[in-house]
Amino acid sequence: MRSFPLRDARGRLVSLHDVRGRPTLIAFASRLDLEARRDQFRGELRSLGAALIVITRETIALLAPDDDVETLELVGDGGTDALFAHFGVKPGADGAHPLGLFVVDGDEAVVWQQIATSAGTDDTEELLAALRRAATLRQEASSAAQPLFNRREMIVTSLAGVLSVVFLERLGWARSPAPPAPTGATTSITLQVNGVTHKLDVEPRVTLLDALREQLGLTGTKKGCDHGQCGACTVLVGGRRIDSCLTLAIMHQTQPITTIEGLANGNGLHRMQAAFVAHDAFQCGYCTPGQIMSAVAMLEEGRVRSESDVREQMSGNLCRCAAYPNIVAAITSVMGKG
Amino acid sequence: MREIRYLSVAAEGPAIRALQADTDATYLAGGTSLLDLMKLEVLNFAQLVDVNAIPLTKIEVSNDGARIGSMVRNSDLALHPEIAARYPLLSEALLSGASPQIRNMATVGGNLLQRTRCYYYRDPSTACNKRNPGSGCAAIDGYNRNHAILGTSDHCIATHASDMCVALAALDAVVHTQGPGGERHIPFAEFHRLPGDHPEIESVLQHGELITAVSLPPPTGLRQSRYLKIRDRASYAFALSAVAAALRIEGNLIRGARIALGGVGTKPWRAVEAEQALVGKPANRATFTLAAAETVRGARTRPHNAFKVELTRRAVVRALSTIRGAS
Ligand SMILES: Cc1cc2nc3c(=O)[nH]c(=O)nc-3n(C[C@H](O)[C@H](O)[C@H](O)COP(=O)(O)OP(=O)(O)OC[C@H]3O[C@@H](n4cnc5c(N)ncnc54)[C@H](O)[C@@H]3O)c2cc1C
Ligand code: SF4
Ligand code: FES
Ligand code: FES
Repeated sequence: MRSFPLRDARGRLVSLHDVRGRPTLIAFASRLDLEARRDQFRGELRSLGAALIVITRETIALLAPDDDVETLELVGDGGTDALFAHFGVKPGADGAHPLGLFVVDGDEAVVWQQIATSAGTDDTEELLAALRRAATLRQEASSAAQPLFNRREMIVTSLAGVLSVVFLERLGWARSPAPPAPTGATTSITLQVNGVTHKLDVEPRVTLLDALREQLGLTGTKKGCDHGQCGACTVLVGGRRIDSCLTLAIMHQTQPITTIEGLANGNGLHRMQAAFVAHDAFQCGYCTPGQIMSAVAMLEEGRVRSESDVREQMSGNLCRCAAYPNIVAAITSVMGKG
Repeated sequence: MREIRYLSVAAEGPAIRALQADTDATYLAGGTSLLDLMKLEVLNFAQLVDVNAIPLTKIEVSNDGARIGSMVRNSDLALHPEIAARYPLLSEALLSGASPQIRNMATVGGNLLQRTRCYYYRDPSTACNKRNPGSGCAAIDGYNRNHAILGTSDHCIATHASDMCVALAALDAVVHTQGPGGERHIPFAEFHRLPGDHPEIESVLQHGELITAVSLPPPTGLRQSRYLKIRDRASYAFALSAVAAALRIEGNLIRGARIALGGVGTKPWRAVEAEQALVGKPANRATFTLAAAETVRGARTRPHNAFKVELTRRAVVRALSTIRGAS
């Protein structure tokens, strides 16, 4: 997604997909007055855990659950037209804009979208009703099953989920263009993962990472960037470390695959795992499985002599929490033991 | 990523025939460039022909030179003892590229044909002549910090992002192919194309032509070499400017020189005039500075990449001085 940096009244930069750490709902409309129903909108946003950005031809307004309505300005040129165009919200024959609603996540991806066919009217009540219904559904869902984590990813996903239901319930909303649905022909493949042979049906386009996580339930291997840029998805294939996000499952039917789940010996941690624990080599832990797999392979490769070698040869694994000093300490402690 | 059909082949013939039969098919090697871009729907092929099982994985080094199979992984090539000893420039360039994981996946053939990292090329919502011929170039008037200053056209200013290729350009490599029309042996300087009016055509390969090997002449006089890569962080980043340099110094005089540049050209950039400015001259800073100026003569800069001119000059001087210091 192209990024459209915005600036608030105090000159601070606001990004469309991450309003001060909150997932964002973006609404496009011909007319929509947040101020008129500010308290009601705030209440619904609070229970949804999201911020709302409303974009009309004239203005861009932001409402976060605990703040006042703020006006945002686009940094750079193009005006709001560029935003409408980028999100594909096109004016109807009468020149009026439909109501478009988007949920975007921190990866700048649109995770959910819906564009209404009705157009031209004041959409304030329409949007408020939709959010109110979504908040109710959300509450019902979360009292049924208390989520263990309240991670941002889950907020975004559940937001998309409840909004889907809301718009299925409401007539007059066009179907959003379907995301690439997994409807393609599948092929039966065999993967040897952590010493176990698995038979599974996959579409040829499924990455090794997605097959491990989604089909074999081995969610220890993480998806960070999905584009070879972070190393969170590192696994060993034939003993060599690779990024499982940039390779297809169907390509790896002959060589043994090891994931983080296959490293420990029963309850006995692999010494690299133990070293990461002992050195507190993580903060959020998201990069950790990839770091550990990469470090295990690196020591096998046998080319590290110094701490700076460790840094260079571990550079394919990024840590967003910057736990690098402790990661390097954990790895060098294992090297020391030979 | 859109739906694909997948075919794995274990020999050259079936691979070539599979592509001949389908204009919407392409070869899949390490996947690190192709799958990355297919996920972004920048590239959309209906069929992928997986060539990983073709045994083009040998590295042969002799006094006549070296021959490297196209399916050799970047890490295996970089760490091959004889390559590291005879062609340290190539090893250094490879090890400066990407990450250990990606080098374990990436192949020699795929590296030659890796696509640019132009931000707009990777974003299908923008205009890009390379991705969508005739649509314009968002980079020329956009943010062009990682773009080229040499070999650009009015239609595209994207760099060729490979490090390996910069070393291969300096080493006078030859690319060997097998295709519907038989074998070809393509001198490295002719392999990649300048963007001109058709930035979407990046090499002289025909549809279905399979790279089988890369060969190198003997490294006579090229062992005093250096690959210097300047980037935004110490590792795991593409070059802003990179210099592959080799010098043969006798007494105090330069008898032979090779210079190629990365991160600044629309293709791996051999700097022939700079080499000529070195040969026969004393190996000192004054000579290096004159040669460095030659490397960027004719550079066409844009608002965000003008810094690459001075950066490249200094990198050339530093690379040559390091070689001089070590010899
Ligand atoms: C995060 C990241 C960072 C990177 N950093 C760097 C860097 O710093 N320096 C650098 O140089 N590179 C870097 N790369 C690029 C990497 O080196 C290339 O992606 C890799 O070399 C491509 O090789 P591959 O085998 O994976 O090719 P693939 O992705 O499989 O293929 C690439 C292209 O080559 C074609 N092809 C492959 N093999 C053949 C063949 N034998 N015959 C004919 N056509 C063939 C394919 O059809 C495709 O069009 C980076 C990549 C990523 C993802
Ligand atoms: S520089 Fe080339 S690749 Fe980049 S947007 Fe322009 S045409 Fe496309
Ligand atoms: S998820 Fe594979 S490298 Fe980031
Ligand atoms: S511990 Fe959080 S990303 Fe590394």
